[in-house]
Amino acid sequence: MNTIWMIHCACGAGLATSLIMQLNAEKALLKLNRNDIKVTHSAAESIREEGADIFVVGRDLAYRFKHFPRVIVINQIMSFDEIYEKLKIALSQTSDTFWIEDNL
Amino acid sequence: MIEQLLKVENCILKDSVKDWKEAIHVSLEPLVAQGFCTDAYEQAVLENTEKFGAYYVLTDDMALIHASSEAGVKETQMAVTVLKEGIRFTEDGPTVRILIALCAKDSTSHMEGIMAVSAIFGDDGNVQPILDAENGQEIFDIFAQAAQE
Repeated sequence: MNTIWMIHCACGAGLATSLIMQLNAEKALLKLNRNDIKVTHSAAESIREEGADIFVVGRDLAYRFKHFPRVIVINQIMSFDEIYEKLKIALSQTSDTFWIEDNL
Repeated sequence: MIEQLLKVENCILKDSVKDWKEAIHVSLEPLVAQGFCTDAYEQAVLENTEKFGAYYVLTDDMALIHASSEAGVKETQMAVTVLKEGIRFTEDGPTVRILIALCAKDSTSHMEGIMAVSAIFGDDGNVQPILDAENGQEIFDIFAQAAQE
């Protein structure tokens, strides 16, 4: 997989859910010793595919990212453990494309 | 400081609401009354709900009621209403007792409030003290404490 520089979290309004996921993702990256990766958040509407290397999105808006190359779908928005486990899987992928959705 | 985002007097206990629309109205009422956002904000939440469903129900106990920054927001602010009798936003959804209203004028000014919400409602959080709170001060103190963690 190409180097991951940027992870972008998306939700409807771009204020609450995506920021909660960003904070958890940053915490997870710290725990994974990958604080070289930057995390941002915004409304899903304004997002372009080239804006980040991995996109993190809640289940309700996942359909909008169907054609994006690297996507993590979060079921429990408030859960740190879920985002941690899914980021760990994402960052160990050898393939350049993935869709990580099912909980472990 | 959480005091800039959440006022003690906007931490409110209420017995019940008649439906989900009233839940949204009641939760946003202090923010509208004090000029942090306009009626258009409540309208935006209602319209978004029709379009996208109850996107703000984030856990079995809590709804984080908000719309985007563009919809009549003047200043960033939060309010918390704890219902004695919970309300369902959708037929198959959870019965929610904690309503957190949020209006944010940009994407980061409410960071501390979101961190508090994350600490209280995340994997290691504890919701029970809020459900058991007997007055607004107790609710406020829980958020203030969580914001420091």
